[in-house]
Parts: sequence; structure tokens; C-alpha cells
Amino acid sequence: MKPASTKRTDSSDKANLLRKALVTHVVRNVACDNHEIEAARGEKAIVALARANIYNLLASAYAEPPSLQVVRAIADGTLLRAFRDVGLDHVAAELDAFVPGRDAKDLLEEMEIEYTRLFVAPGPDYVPPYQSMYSDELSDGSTALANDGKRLDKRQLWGDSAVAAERMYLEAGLAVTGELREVPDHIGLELQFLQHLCGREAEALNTGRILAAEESVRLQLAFLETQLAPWIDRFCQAVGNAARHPFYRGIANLTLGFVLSDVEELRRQASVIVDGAMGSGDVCSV
Amino acid sequence: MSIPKLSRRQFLALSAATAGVAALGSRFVPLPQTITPAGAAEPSLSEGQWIPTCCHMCGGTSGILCNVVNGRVAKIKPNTDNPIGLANVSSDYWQHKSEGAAMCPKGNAGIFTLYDPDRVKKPLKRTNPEKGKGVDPKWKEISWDEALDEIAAKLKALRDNGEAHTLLWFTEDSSFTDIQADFCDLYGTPNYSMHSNLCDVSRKAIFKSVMGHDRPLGDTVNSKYILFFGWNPLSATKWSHLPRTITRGIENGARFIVVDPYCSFTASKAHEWIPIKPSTDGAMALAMANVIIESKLYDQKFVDDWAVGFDQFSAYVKDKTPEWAEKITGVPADTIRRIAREFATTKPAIVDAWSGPGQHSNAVQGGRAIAVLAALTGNVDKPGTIMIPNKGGGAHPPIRVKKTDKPRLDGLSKFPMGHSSGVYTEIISRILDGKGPYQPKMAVVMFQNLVLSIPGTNNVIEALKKLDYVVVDDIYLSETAEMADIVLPGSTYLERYEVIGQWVTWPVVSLRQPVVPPIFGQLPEYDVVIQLGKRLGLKDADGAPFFESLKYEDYISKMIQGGSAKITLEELKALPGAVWMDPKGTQYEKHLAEVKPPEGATVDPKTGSVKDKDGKLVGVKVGDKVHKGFATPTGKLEFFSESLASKKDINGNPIDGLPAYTPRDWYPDDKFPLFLINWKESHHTHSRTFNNPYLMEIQNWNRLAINDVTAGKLGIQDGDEIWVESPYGKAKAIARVTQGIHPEVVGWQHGFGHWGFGKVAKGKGTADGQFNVTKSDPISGMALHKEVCVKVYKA
Ligand code: SF4
Repeated sequence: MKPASTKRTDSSDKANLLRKALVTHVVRNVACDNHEIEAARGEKAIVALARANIYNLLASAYAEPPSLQVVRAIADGTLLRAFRDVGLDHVAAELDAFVPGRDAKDLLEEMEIEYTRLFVAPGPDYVPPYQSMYSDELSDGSTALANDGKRLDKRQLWGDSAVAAERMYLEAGLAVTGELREVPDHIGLELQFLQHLCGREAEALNTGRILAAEESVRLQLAFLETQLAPWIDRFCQAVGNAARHPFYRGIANLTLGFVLSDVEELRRQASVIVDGAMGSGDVCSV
Repeated sequence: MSIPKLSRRQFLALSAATAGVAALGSRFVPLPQTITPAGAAEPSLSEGQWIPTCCHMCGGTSGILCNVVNGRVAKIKPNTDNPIGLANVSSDYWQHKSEGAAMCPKGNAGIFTLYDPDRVKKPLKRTNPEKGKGVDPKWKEISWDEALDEIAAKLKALRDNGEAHTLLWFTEDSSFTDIQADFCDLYGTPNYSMHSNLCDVSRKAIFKSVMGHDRPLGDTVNSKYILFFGWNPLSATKWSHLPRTITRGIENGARFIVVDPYCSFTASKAHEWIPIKPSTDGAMALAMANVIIESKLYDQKFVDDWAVGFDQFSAYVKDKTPEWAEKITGVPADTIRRIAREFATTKPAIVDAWSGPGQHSNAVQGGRAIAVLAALTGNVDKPGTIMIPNKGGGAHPPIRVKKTDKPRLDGLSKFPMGHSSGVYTEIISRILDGKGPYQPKMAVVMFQNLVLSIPGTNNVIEALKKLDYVVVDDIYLSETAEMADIVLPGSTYLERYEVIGQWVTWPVVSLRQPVVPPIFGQLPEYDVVIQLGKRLGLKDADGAPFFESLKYEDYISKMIQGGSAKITLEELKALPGAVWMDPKGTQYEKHLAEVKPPEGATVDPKTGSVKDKDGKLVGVKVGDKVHKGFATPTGKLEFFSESLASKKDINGNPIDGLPAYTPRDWYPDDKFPLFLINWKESHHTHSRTFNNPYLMEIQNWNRLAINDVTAGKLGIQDGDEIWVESPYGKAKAIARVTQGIHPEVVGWQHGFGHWGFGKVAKGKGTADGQFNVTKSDPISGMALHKEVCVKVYKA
């Protein structure tokens, strides 16, 4: 999103370090009188909510077996359209060719089996949905070889990436529930964490708490850059290769496209915030 | 893969288009306000906590300390507050505690098992009705509630139909056993079975019959002569103190002799390795007895006071000369003579035998011949001899239950020295031949890979196929899980409780406790049992619901309170290292304790056994004193077992009261000219550690050891691909040509050859059970892992 206004300038000459806080303070206090800013904020909130929804959609695709609703959304064309809208025409076409004449229950079971084969039951096509299996070192550094002369893959669950992910959850005031416990760097949890942060951003924007919204955006970007983005590519490629069902190929494509686009967008936004607050003096750039 | 680039507009469109398609309930909860985010993460950050618990990478339960940093297990080290891992007699423990304890490679590699990416994480339901080796079950994840509801519904239907007894229950034997036994009793099946009959129940039978205790332990540290038949304790560690206690014994001056067809790691550290033909150890022991008695080197007074049947025994061994034994065993008569003299004249001495001679059809009698050597030389329960441990442990919490009167499927009661763990091979055979009292319908398999552990792999697969419904609870998709209708994700030892009270010679109670919560939120096995019991509404004999409000912590707290520690779970947790021990330490010669016989007690003039008026043994009269004696039927060590002599084995053959030598049933012939044996090493347990890369790095293939002379005759060279063939199976293997194995024997390490299980384990080495016949020894029900003959030829 482009900043709503670039016309007003701040003529004060305060130290850069103080500027950002001051600016947001000013915005927070004057915003309600300024329709333009309010509208912009509203639009940002809408985008944040949309992002939260998409993160939730993706999280659910990896965190639990498909539901009947998903099957219906495939059958009635909802997902087809959605895939088309974002330029995944070939996935849409595959999905289209897949569905007709199929009983919803059969289709559901087929997708449950596919989901389990890909993300749950270790086997030849298993794509471990855990960051540590991608980001962590392949081996413990030992040069010992197995007695067939091969180096063994020693990556394990709950590696450093999981610890780092959990730490960021805790910093954001969130803990993984005991009941539906999973290892903290499960793709579903990482995506859902972003859903929470986007939701927070939207809520903060809607209640005029600009600092909180900014904080959430900062956390989103930090989490994406340090946790999700570094492995999402390899994960989605692996899913794309292993998936037999077009739905999961489509979801993998969509995940990768969306996450990378979101990172890019957030980076752009962040640079604008930094520029605006710290450099050009563009008070309304938030 | 095409990666779309999405604009913000498309975000909005996508969100709108997919609204309501899927909504994942939150997997996060807000942290309580009182915990600041920093506070939540900080305290555990740097050094974390050290939590005492017990290893279970094998059944040995060595004491360990786990370092948990940020909710993750970062390091495991030995716990010197627990003697298991350090010593098995108290004086040695107290004296050397400060030197530190040990963990074997498996224990050191335990963290990987906890965090193995190939673990089963969610309950899985089979959707492909076809079952078989390598057939994709087409798993589908289901929720825990669905899984438990479905299993409970199957169990309920069976029970409502009056068929509760057709449920088979299999479990590992050193974890959460009591509560499973309770479940089976309350549910109404007699078919509760455990792993032990795949392990060492013949040894249990041997020592139970000779000295009244089924698991004596050697005080090797204090010994001067250590003689082992078919045991590899320096490598096949169970309790990581084993190697130390033996090498300390050697340092203290013990001479160490190993009789084994294979030059095991242990044999390689011995003063002498004596290669022997498999299953003939009993013959060598009888010849040793012959020499010892002929040369009057036995302990006359001890035998007179503390043994029965000596005269019959000495008459029996009169013609069991070293020359006689040489023909059977392949061990030179002079060697037998020399070992017999050394053993009888060096005091104190230990003689012991484990699974080497223990997994053949003549295991019990052969083993008894070895065990009586201890009685003959007075080397029993004294410092430096084989010891009768004082178990501490926990007591099974009291439960009132009316057990079913239906017979067991395996006919356990017909095995004269059968073990409460049942007879797996008979279960498999009855499912297949239909000759049991009924056909079983359902099985629950806890933490057991039956397919790779019961002799006769194909039979096991076919038997499992015949059951209507199979539940497997395991941390891996094992070859047995591949045959299941439902798989539940198991827990590792770092995620669950256990009370441990054995493996050393004095009463010690130690605790295994979860150091991290189950990492996938899964239920530990005992909670699965509780949940099923609850759903079924199982009631005790008084009609009180047993599982309804049962918490496993309370259950084991009662176990601890009922045992020798007499403290609660919380009190045990608070003790250093979570270990309680009896300050009195190891007691020797416990049979000498004097007892006061009750009014009306009578003495058997022949044996000295003192019995109360109901005929119950209350002591043994030696001289003019009445002692506690041994827990045998006569209260004395038994060269001759009256009780065995009165019974028939499972084949209906009478049993000799003496440890008579008979050859095992299956001997090499022209077609299958080689004995095939197997063994274990420190880096693997059963078939269950083979997905651990740290352990596979040590050994990831079981090449077939073959003597160089034999190999030369067959034109086989080291590293050659070969065929191994028995009447029951044929598979490829790789040859390891060595001088360290008897020329008539080939052998390898057990546990390899997975075709499922995990990506590290899969396809490594050759599975040994496929060559075997599905049989047990006819006295104890011990699975015959080593009674197999093969031919070997170049592939
Ligand atoms: S012997 Fe090794 S695997 Fe077994 S309990 Fe001890 S440390 Fe663990």
C-alpha cells in the first residue's frame, strides 16, 4: 500500500531518535480528526484482516486433515476461482478435472489420506512440516561416517529453529496450547502465529493504537524473515513434488506465492515507515 | 512449480473468496498476564534444569540426568545418585560413586529418539483393508477422541458378545505393565502377554529351579574367576554398569573366561575365548561337573548342607567325561578339564549363562547344568559369586477382580516352567493352525514389533492378517504397525513415568519421570489404557469403576508406597536423583538367616525342609538350626528337581529331574549344514533403535560372520554378497569373513533388516527372524531365536 498522504511535512527539527515516537503520538492524537488518515487506516486494517484470513487458511491446510468444507469449496468451484484469481490457473484446471462426478465423502477420504501421507505419517513421500528439518544443520558436525561410508542426516525435531520460534511466540505473549500440542516450528503453528499478529494489527488499527499496530508489523516482518521465509521455499517445493492431489499442489504454490509476496510488501512498508519517521520527515506516512 | 506473485488487491480477493472454507481454531493461548514474555523465556535460557530420571533406550533403566533448556532436552548424562549405571552391589557403589557412572551409546543417543522426525505423531487409521508386507495401509489421521472411541467400541462389542477372552494383549515388559494387566483382568481376557518370552525366560526357569530366584546377578567386581556361557555383557549392555563391574573384577584380579560360538566383544576382552557349538553348553558343564566331582574339588560341606540331589547328580555325570563332551561341543577335553579345575579351585567364582545357550529347544536343562556348577562349588550368594538380589521395587496396587476362567490361547499352563509373560510363538501358531480353544479376534500391541521379533517372520505377518482388528501403539510405523488397523503415537521414556525397583542386589527404587511433556500432545501408553478403561466403564469385583477417576501418578504413588521405600511419588521425586535406597545395602548369604518355625512344623529327614502344618515351606534345618533357605520347593539348591521330574513338557515328554543333556531338536544336515546364531551389541536394542543415526553411525549393517576356513571352502570372500537360506526363508546378506566364529556356525547381530520403521532404519542389513521356525522351548516357552540351520552360498 502506498502511504495515504505525502503532502504534509514535519518542520520540527527534533533528534531522529525521538522522531518516530513523536510522530506516531501525533498521528494517534490527531488521526480521528483526519478522514484521510482514518480511511487509510481502515484500509490497512482490512488488508491486515485479509492477511490474517489467508494465514489461517494456509495454517489449517497443514495443521489438520481437510474438512468437508474444503471438499465442498473444491466441488462448488470456490477454490478454483480463488486459485485462478491469484494466477494459479493450471492448479485450478487440475482441480477442475479432478472433481466432477465424485462423491464428496470419497473425495474427502482421498484428501485425508493424501494429507496424512504428506504431512503426518513418515514414509517415502513424507514432507516433514517442521522448520528444523530445513533450517538446521544437516549433521552435528561430526565427521564420522556410517559404515556404508555415508554421512547420516542428523536433523531432529525441536531443533534450534523450534526454540527460536517458540521464543518469538512467548515474546508476543502467546504459548502453544497443551491440548493440541505440537512442536513449535510446525508450519501450521508458524502460519497461525502470523495470523495472530495480523489480527492484532487489524485490531490495533481499528482501535486507533498505531504503536501497537506498528509493533505487530515489526514482529510480522521479523518472524517472517528469521523463521518462515528461510524455509518456506524448500518446504513448498517438496510438497509440490510429493503431492499427488492438486489441492495440496495448489496450496503449496499459494503458500509460497503468498508468503513471499507478503514479505516483500512488509519490507516495502517498513522501509517507508523508517524513511518517513527517521528520514524524510513524512509524518503521515504511517 | 509456478509461484504467483500476489498484490494487496489479490490478498483481499483471496481472503473474500476463501472465507469460510477453512478455519483453524487457535493453537495458541495468551500467556497469563503475570508472566511477562521475557520472564517466560528467560529463567530456563542459559543452563536450564537438570531432571533426574531413568533411561529406557533398552530395558536396563540406567539412572540419568536430563538437561532441559527452553523446553527442549539438550543433554543427558549419568545420574550417580542411581546405582544402575554404576554398580550392582552396594559396597562398590558407595566406594566408587564419586568416580561417576556410565551410559552406553544407546543412552547417549536418546535425545534423537525423542526428537526423531520419523516418530508417529497423530493417531492413524488404516483405510486400505488389504494387509501385508509392504502393502500401503493408506493411513488417515484421526483425532485422539475418534481413535479411542473406535477402539473402545470394538472392545465393547467383543465384550458384550461374550468374547472378551478373544482379545490378545502384547506389551513390552519393563514399562507400564501393571496397569495393562489390571485392564486385561477387568476387561476379561486371560491373554495378557509380555516381551520376556522373547528374551530370557529360559534363564529365569533355570535359576528359579536351581536356586529359587529367576534373575540372579553376578557380583563380578568381587570375583576371582568369571565364567560366562553365551553372554556378551561388555557390549550387549542392559544396565550400563555391566561393563564396568566386569572390567573392575578383572582389574581386581579375576580371570575371565567366555564360552561362546562367536568371539563376541566380551570374549575379545576375556583371558580366554572358548568356541563351542551352539546349544551344547550344557554338555560342557556336565563334563566340568564330572571333573570337579571325580577330583573331589567340590565344596562337600556346602553341598551337604545346602543342596539336594547331589548323589543322583554325581551318578549321572559319572560317564559325562570331557571326552564325551568334546564330541558334542567341539571343545577339547583338556580344555574342559583345565577350566573345570580352575573354576573349582579359584574362589570366589561366578558362573552364569544368558541368551546364548538360552534360545534353543534344550535351553532349560542345558542351563540348569551350568547353574548347578555354582551349587557344586559353593559359589552362591557370597561376595564375588552369583547373587540373589533383594528386590525393592514397587508393589502392584491392590485391586479386587474376578478373573475370567477362560484358558489362555497359548496354553501357558502346560509349560512346566512357563513364565507369566506368556508364549508368543504359541499364540502365533494357534492363530494360524486354529487348534487353540478359540480363535482370537482382536489384538492390542503396546511398544512391540512382533513382526521382527518373533521367530518366523512370515508366520507372524500371516497371523496378524487373520485378526479382525489390530491396535498398535508405538513411536514408529514399525513393520507391526504396518499390519494395524489403528496406530496410536507412543511416548518415549523422556515423556513418561515408571517406577523401577530391580537390576541391583539391594532394594533401590528409582523413578522415571517425564522431563518434557509428550511432544505431540500424545497420551502416554498408561493414559491410553486409562482412557479405554474409562470408556468401557470397567469395574472391579466390588462394582466400583476402576479407571473413572484414576490418575497414573496416584497409581504409581501407591506402587511406591506399597514397595520397600514406603514413600509417596512426590517424596521420591524430592530425593537426590529421585532414588530411594535401603541403607542396609547388599546382603549376602540371605539363606542363612535364622527363622523360628511355627508350632507344629515338621522336618523332612531327607532334605531338611521345614514345613508348617499346611505343608508350606517355612525354612530349612541345617545342623541344629533352622534357616530361611532358598525359594526352591525344598528350600535348598536343587541338583535334582522333584517338582520338574513330576511334570511333562509341552510335547508330553517326561522331564528329567536332573539337568540331563539332550541335543536340541534341529541340527545341521547336508542340506542346511551351518548353525545360524544372532547376538546384540551396545549400540542397538532389539529391533527398535535402528532409526537413530547416531547409533546407525556405529553399526548400520549386520554382515554375516563366517569362519575363514568355511568361507574358503564355499569360495566366499569378505564383503561378498551371499544368499542365506533355511527351509523357512531366503535372503541376501553380506559376508564378514573372520576367525572369530566357530567354523560350523554363521551369525549376525539381531534387529536389522527393517522394511518400514523409518528412513534411517529401512533397507539396512538382513532380518534374522525370517529364517526361523515359530517355536519355543518346551519347558519355559522361550522363543527359539537361535535354533536354526542354514546354507550359505555366493549370490
Ligand atoms: S544400558 Fe544403555 S540403553 Fe540401557 S538403560 Fe543403560 S544407558 Fe540406557
